[in-house]
Amino acid sequence: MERGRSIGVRLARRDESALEDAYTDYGPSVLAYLRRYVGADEAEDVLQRTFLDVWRHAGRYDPQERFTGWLFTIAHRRAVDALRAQRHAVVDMETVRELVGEDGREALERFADAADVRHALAALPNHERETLHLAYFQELTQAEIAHRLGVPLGTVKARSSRGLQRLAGILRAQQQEGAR
Amino acid sequence: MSDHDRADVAGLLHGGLDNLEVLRNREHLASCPECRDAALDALVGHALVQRAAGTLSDNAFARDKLSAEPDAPRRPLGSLPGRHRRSATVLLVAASLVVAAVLVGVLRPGADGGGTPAARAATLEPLVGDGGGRVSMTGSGSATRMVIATHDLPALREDEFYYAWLLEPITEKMLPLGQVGPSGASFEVSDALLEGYSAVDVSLEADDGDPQHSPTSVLRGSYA
Repeated sequence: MERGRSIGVRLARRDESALEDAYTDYGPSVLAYLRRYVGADEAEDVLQRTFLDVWRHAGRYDPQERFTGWLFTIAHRRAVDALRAQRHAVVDMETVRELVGEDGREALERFADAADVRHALAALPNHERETLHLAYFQELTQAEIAHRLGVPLGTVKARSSRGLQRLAGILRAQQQEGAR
Repeated sequence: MSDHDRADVAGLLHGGLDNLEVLRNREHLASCPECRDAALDALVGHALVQRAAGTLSDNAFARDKLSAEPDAPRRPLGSLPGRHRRSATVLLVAASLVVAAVLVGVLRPGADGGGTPAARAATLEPLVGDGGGRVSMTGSGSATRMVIATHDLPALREDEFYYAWLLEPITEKMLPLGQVGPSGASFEVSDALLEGYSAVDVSLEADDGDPQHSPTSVLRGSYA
C-alpha cells in the first residue's frame, strides 16, 4: 500500500506510531504551506494544531482519498483559523484571498502534490535524490553538480535520468493504487 | 552516437547540449523504443519535480536537503505569563514530542469527538492574587452553556476589565469568549468548538484597543 494511504489507515486504527510517521514524512511540506499563508512566526504553531486535528479526526480519513489531500485540507482549515485570529495591524488581504478563495483549493492541491513528490524523492537512492535535489531545488546545472559532487558529468546525467524515471514510476504506482 | 549509446535524456531536459547534440538525440529516440520509454518516464519525472520545486521555491525548505531540519522558530515566546513555547527543535525529533503532546492532550474523555459534553464544572485557580472562580457547563443540543463565576479578583482600574477565553494549553490556541463582569458571565459555545479546547482562562485586559490576550492571566482551570 502506498505510504501515505498506509499512514492514513493506521491513523484511523489509532496507531500512535502513524502520527509520528505522518509528522516526519509530511511535516516539512505542511510547514512550507503554512509559512506561505500564516507567516513563519505562526506556522509552527499552526502545524502542531494541524497534527492535533489529524489525530483527532483520524477516523474520518477515507482510504479512497489521497492522504496528502486530506492532510492539507486540515492544514488549510487551521491556516484560515489562524488568519482570522490574527490581530496584526496589517493583514495581507491578497494572501487571505488566495487562501480562502477559489485559488485556495488550487494552492492546497499544489502543495499536496509537492508533498507527494517530496515523499517520492525521499524513496530514491541517495545519489539519485541528491542529484535531483541539486538540479531542481538548488538550480545547479549538470556541470555544476558534477563539480560539486566530484563525479563525471556522465554520472550526473545517468543519476538524474534514472532518478526521474524512478520517481515517475513511484508516483504512477501511487496513482494506480488510488484508482483501484 | 553509437547504437549502444543511450539518449542523453538529462541533457535534453536540463540543457547543456548544443543544437547538433539535441537533434542527434531526437533521431535516436525516434528509432529506439527503449530509450523513448525511458525519456518518457524521465519527462514525467521532470514535470513532477519541476512543479514541486516551484511550489516550494519561496521558502526555506526548497533550499534544504530533503531530510533536513526546519528553520528554528524566530518569533518570541508566547504571550501567556510564565509560559514558554518549545525552543527550536529538529523536526524529525520534534515528531515524537508532537505525538506525545497530541496523545496527552487529546486522549481524554470527550476529546475524541465522542459526543455532547455532559453537565460538569471546574474550579478556576488563581494565577494572580487570592481570588478564584468556577465554570459550570451544561449541554444543550449541539452547544454548551458555560457560566463563569468569580470572587475576590484584584480591583480594576477604570480602563481595565476581565475577559474569558477558551484555551488549549498544549498548542496555546485561544478562543475569546467575552467580558467577565462583577457578577460573572455566561456564554454559549458550540460543542464543535468546545471540543478543540480544554481549559478556561480569565485574563486582565486593558481598554487599549488590542484584542490579543494580555500577558496577565488571573484565573485558569481545566474542564476536560
